[in-house]
Amino acid sequence: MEAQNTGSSIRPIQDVDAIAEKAKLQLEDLLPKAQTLYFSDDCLANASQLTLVEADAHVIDHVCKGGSAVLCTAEKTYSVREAETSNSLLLLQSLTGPSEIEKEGPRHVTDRQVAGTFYTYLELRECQPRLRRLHRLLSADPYRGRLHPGTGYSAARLAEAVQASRAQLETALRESHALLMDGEYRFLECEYEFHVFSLITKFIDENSWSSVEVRRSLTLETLSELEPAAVVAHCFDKHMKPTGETAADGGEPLYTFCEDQVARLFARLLLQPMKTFNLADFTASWQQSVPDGVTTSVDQLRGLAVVNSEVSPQVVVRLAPTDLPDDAPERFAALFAVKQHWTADELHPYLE
Amino acid sequence: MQIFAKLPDGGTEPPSWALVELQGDLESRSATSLAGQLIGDLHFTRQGAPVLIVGHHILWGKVTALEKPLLVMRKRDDLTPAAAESDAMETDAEPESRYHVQAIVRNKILFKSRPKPIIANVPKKI
Repeated sequence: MEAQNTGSSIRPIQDVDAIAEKAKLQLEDLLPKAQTLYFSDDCLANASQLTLVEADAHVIDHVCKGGSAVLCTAEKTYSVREAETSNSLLLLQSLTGPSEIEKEGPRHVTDRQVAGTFYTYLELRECQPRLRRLHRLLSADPYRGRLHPGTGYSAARLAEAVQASRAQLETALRESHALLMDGEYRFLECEYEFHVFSLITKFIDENSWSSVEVRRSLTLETLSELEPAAVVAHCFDKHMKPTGETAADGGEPLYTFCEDQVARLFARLLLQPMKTFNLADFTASWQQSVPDGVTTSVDQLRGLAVVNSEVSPQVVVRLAPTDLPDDAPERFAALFAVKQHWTADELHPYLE
Repeated sequence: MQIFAKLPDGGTEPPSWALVELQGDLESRSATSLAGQLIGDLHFTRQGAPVLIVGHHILWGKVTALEKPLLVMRKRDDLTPAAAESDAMETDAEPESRYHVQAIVRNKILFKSRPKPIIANVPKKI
């Protein structure tokens, strides 16, 4: 930073002052420092190399702390819009503001370079992560056993393909029960998942365990001989939960069914071949098919299917949020095509 | 898609740059490019009001803080493996766009008033 009371310039201060006086400015009313603005030599190159991005407090804070990834920080997702201004924005690397100029001292002039002129800038607007794409990608090739390995997506590839931050992705992956196997995320195909779960229930029966006495390590150990260990563990942990009790022999924690998850698995299987099912028939088959210790109930169908009581006999209709159009008005139209009257509770899983 | 912007070489707060906003466009008198050309003289009154003299016009403006600060980002063309950043990024994903955060702009000098022409006896040689 140059000393306050001097300037560095091509033109002498006297010339600058002469022009100021012609413009009827009183020199004694001006701070001692004048600054002459020039276009820099590389201003044209800069105009194409540089972008101005309007950023909110979170982004500014994040970047100032050395964080990376602006359009998708680790926590939030932003949509980007180019905004045009009818004004010219002159960008300067150095420019002294009035509060930084010493009030006393000889008049002087300093040359300043305008690095570029801008007419547009990018606006960042925080938005909901677009997670539908995540579902679409992972549903394209669900895992269905060793004979059909297929491919999944690594976390990095998902981050590239899906408009969401890493944290939002991790949450979405966890909530949708994506399996991580060999570094790639996969969904399990419904019938295959059911097959693996059936191995678990069969093993429970073979050991004559009650529904609250299931042992995790032996189950995983044994069944990993039949299906990949990661899949068995994933399926077990998704559908079973600790009871809080431990075994009398050895103190191993005991597990029981996650009723809701198990019920939903069976519901999905029942609804797979037929989109619409007579409600009475469905309810009966459903309760009959689930293992002992699991009770089915219509609220477990949230996000899987809806009950339509507007027809007689009542039916249950398979409906996943990913079956619906992304666009809000179209999505509402599709929902109301299923049935006219919805409770807020019923609608909730289908609205972002 | 993730567009990455990072401070170069793990710096902390980026330098503060300045912005001058003018209504309309600056035109060059000659056919040559704007590079290197003089724009005008910027003064501040003792009350801190900015005054810009451009050609035969005088503009009065004000210094304002930007409601949303601007980041000045420079696009990076070098996507060498060495340039692949830390942040636990897996190497199998080449990011689509990488930018360096060159600077931050928190204030601007806005000249909104219509330029007033300077009427004077302009001597032949300035």
